[in-house]
Order: sequence, then C-alpha cells, then structure tokens
Amino acid sequence: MVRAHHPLRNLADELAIAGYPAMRFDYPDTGDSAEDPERTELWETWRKSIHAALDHLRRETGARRVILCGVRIGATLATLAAEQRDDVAALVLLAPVLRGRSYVQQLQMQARLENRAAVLPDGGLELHELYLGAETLERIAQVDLRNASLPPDLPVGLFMQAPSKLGADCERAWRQKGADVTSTDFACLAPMLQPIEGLDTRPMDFSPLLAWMRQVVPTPPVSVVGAAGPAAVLAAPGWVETPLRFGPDDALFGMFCRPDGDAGDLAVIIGNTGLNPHYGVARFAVQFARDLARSGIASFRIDFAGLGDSADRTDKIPVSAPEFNIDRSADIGAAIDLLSQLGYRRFAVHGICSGAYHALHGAVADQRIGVVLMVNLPVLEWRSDDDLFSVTRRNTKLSHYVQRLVAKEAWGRLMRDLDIGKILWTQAERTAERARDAVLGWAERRGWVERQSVGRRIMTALSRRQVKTFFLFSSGDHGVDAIEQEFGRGGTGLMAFAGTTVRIVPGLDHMLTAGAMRRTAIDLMIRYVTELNDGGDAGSLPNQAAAVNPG
Amino acid sequence: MTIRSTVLDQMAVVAKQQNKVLVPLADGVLLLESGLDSLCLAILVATLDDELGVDPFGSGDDVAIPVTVGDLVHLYEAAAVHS
Repeated sequence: MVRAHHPLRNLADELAIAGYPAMRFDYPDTGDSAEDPERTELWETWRKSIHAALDHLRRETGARRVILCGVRIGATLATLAAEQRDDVAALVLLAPVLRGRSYVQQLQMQARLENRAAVLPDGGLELHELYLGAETLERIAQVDLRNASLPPDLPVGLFMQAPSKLGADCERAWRQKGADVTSTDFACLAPMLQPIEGLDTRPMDFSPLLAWMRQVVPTPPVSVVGAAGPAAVLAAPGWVETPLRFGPDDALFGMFCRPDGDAGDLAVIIGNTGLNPHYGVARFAVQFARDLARSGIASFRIDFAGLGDSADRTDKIPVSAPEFNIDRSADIGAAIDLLSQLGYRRFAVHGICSGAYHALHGAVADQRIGVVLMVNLPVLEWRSDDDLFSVTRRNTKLSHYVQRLVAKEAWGRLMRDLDIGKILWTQAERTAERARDAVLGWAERRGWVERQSVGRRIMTALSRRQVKTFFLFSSGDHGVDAIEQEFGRGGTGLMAFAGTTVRIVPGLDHMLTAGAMRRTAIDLMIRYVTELNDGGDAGSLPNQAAAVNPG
Repeated sequence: MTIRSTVLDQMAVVAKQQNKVLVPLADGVLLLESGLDSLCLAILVATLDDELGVDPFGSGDDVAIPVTVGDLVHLYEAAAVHS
C-alpha cells in the first residue's frame, strides 16, 4: 500500500549500496501499473506478476538468483512464489500476512468502518483504489502460510513487529520442512504499516535486515551499469506513460502520461497529496492522468523533493514536517522546464489538499502556469508558526463546535479531545478578523483602501495574469470555511477576480475516498480543462460559482 | 488467558504498533473513542481471529459492529462459546 512506498524505496537504495541490485514493482491495478479493463481475478494476476517481475529482472541483469522481499500481503505473495521457483536465494518477509482468512476479515472490517457502501452486494469490496471481487477474497482467505512448502535450505528472514502465536507456528512448520528460518522482532517496521498521514520519511534502520542478508547471501560488490535496461514505457489504449527524471541533478521523479494519438500543447502537472507518492491517494493521480490522456491532454505526475521517488531535499528539511511548510514552487518550475523541452507551451497545475496549496502558490511563483485545478484547498495562507491544529481551529466555524456540543454523546470526546480555551481564543480571533474584513471590504468597495491579505494578493496576481483558477470543494470541507472567511458565503467574493470558478459539490469527502467521489472530481476537472483546451487559450471561460449535485 | 484479557491485550498491542494512545479501557468506552482508528479496529479483528480462532463477523449474518469495548468483549466471548 501507499504507506510502504517510501520505506521500500529507502530499502532498495540501501540494498543497492550493499551490492544487491534491487527492483521495485507495482502489482497490476496498484501504483503506476496498468489496470485490467476486464477486472480479471486479482489474486492470480498478482501471483503471476511476481514471476513476470523475477523473469524480467533476471533477463535485464543477468542475475542467476534472486532474493524476494515483500511487506504484508506482498510478503505472502513472495512466499507463494518461492514455493514454485528454484532461483530464489532467500526470502525476506516483512510483517507478512500469515493467514489469509483473518486478513480478509481485516479488509472487510476496514471497508465497513470507512464506507459502508464499500462492501458490495456481490460479496466483493471496494477499498481505496482496489476492487476485490468475491473470488479474489475467497482465494486470499484460503492462504495459510503454515502450509507453505518452501524449498529445503531456503534462507527465510521473518521480520515481525512483535512475537505472535501464528508467527511461531509458521516458523516451526517451515523449519520442519527444511527451510532455514531466522525470526527477528523488527519494531522499526512501524513506518511501513502506519497510515501515511503519520509517516516519518526519515530513513528507516534496515541494518538488522541487511546484516542477515549479508550472512545468508554474501555477495561481492556488483556492477549495476546497464542494469536499468531500456527506458520503460507503459501503454494502453488512450495513453502512453514514461518515467522521467528532472530538476537539478535529475533528482526529481515524475510519470509523464500522454495521449496515444494527437496531443495539443497543454500539459497538466499533478503534485503530491500530503506525503503520498505521485500516484496519489487511492491512485487518484493515475486515474486523472490517464483520463486526461484519453481526452487528448498530457500530464506529468511528480514527486516533490523528498517524497515518493524523488531524492531528498538538499537543505535537509525533514519532509515529515507539516507538508505546507515547504515551498514546492521550484519543483513545479523544474517540471515545467522539462515539459517545455518536450514541446509543451501551456501549463496547468493540479493538487488535492496540500497539493492544491502548492499548486496555487506555484502558479503565483511561475508565470508560465495558466490554469490551477484545486481540490479541497484547505488554506490560502500557511503562516510560519502554523500547525495543522491551529489552522483547523482558525478555519472551523463556531457553529461546528456548537453542533458538537448539542450532540449529547459527543460530550465526552469533545471534552477530552479539544482544548476549549484555545478554541474560544481562536474563535475570538476569527470573529475579530471577520469584523476587520467586513470593514475593509466596505472601505475597499469605495476605493478607500486596497486589501492586502495573502489570499487577495494571490488572487489579484493570478487574475492580472489571466490565470484560470478552478476551486473544487467537497460540501462541508474545512477549505470551504477558509474560503468563506476571506471571500464570503460560498466564496462568492472570488468572483471579483477574473477567471475564477468555484464548485462546491455534495457527496464528496476531503480525500475523495470512494471511487464514485474520485470519478465526480475527475469528470468535473476534465470537463473544465477540455473546454479551456478547446478554446485554445486560458481565457475563454466566464467566472462561475455554483454548488453542483453530481447525481 | 481469558477472552477479555486477550481482547484488551491485543487492543494495547495494536495501539502500540500503530502509534496510537489508548484511553483507560472500560466496558463503557466507545470503540471509536478508545484511541483506535478504523484501520486499528480492522487489524484488531484479524489479530483476534489469529489468537482466539474465532470470527464473530464471519458467521454469515450481518453482525453489527460493536459500539463499546464491552460489546466487543461480549461478542468474542459469545463467539468462543459457539465455536
């Protein structure tokens, strides 16, 4: 899953440094890999993909033996692959799913808790980007690694967060069948297994794993020259994708996606959402990019410095800091430089949540950007002493707290979770700001003063450059509060700025967690940008503000 | 170990692994206010099946999700009796 992307990148880097050339890959229907339009049963598809990956790696590098490494269900798949091959030198299992039945329960429970509609009538479920059909769930449920028949003497490193009865059972069963099992408590697995929002992107300590590998598969330093093989290209009807390096020292990474036919000169740059890699939350960026391509528009979904597959920042600011604190305009500018070299002349930039914030500020910084597509922009201004909690308090209406107070069952949680003093103080500050804004707005309408708030400065600058700004909000999102605080109810004050469109759409949540929400957002943005594209420039649409019911 | 102690122990284990802070656990504590989020609760259900060998949610009925810690304990105690 997404949360393991960055730690696995670090592990691959460390393995390569230690002399073990490493290849990471995404299973079909995950990450940057292609989707199966037929929705073939996924479990067998994933199992086959491991063999395809191993064969590719051997073919490209000349390696005779491979070490298989996986996290959670990836470790389970690796174990099943090792049963069938004679070229596996060792098996590295990081918190493997040992028993499919309980894992299916976990998926079903998570789906029920996050979105009741995610448990489908046909017995399948929709969880984040994945549709797991009833047959796939049944196949996963049948897996029990205690019954795995691993090749005799195969070194197996079982790295678990904590001892478990099931882990001990597996270890015993594999030893009885001749495998050379080493079981290690590996508490530092946590960053791979926790939600991405709490991810600490500082490098994990993989030294216990590397020490074990050196012991069981000692290897001399290996030259990896040429091991990368030819430039990768992934294509399907409607789109063609190529991974590209860009920026200073080619330290940044992005996935360039273009139509498989004629393309215009407009390209959309898609930034990270929070700390998620370039493929986005629930693969939103992948879906958006490929749908754009099918509409004749190219895109470049990038990792900002220190995220996803881009190298760490040279200034060593930890990217685990609130993701708003770091100026990403240089990364966006570097992406435009590359796209310009590829022949594109008009540029849009898109982001969700913090990505929307960086898109907006990137557009201010880079005059080549003509269109900004923002989903649930949470804040217009991030002050140097801000944190997520203070911004949430500042942007949350008092009525939100009042609603919580009158809900009797919420009392306990409210009193425990919230700092009432800080809330009241922030609300007083907010009220004062609104009063000040009202007075300044009145004076501004009479031409007596010129407003100087950051939000207005941004919109004024973009409007003067005729930049088109598309604000898409989920109804009830905190970002709506932030916009209303500055621009009035429904953000109607934004209409004073030429080229602005605001959409507030019911039925969405902040991160577009359900597939139907992502579909709605993508359709709205593609409709907007294709109309601009068909118009030939970025100045053809009138200002609009509306609440849209997609149903 | 009793079912109750296993459930409470595993709640603590999952909380630690997921870097969550548990509130003092008592029967009346709401699960979603225990400090565990939806992912933690899903992992807990899987872990309890591995540890106890019972799956109260897999009975074929649409078993309601327990609301409180006490509900969760009673659900597993009842499932253990019937398994």
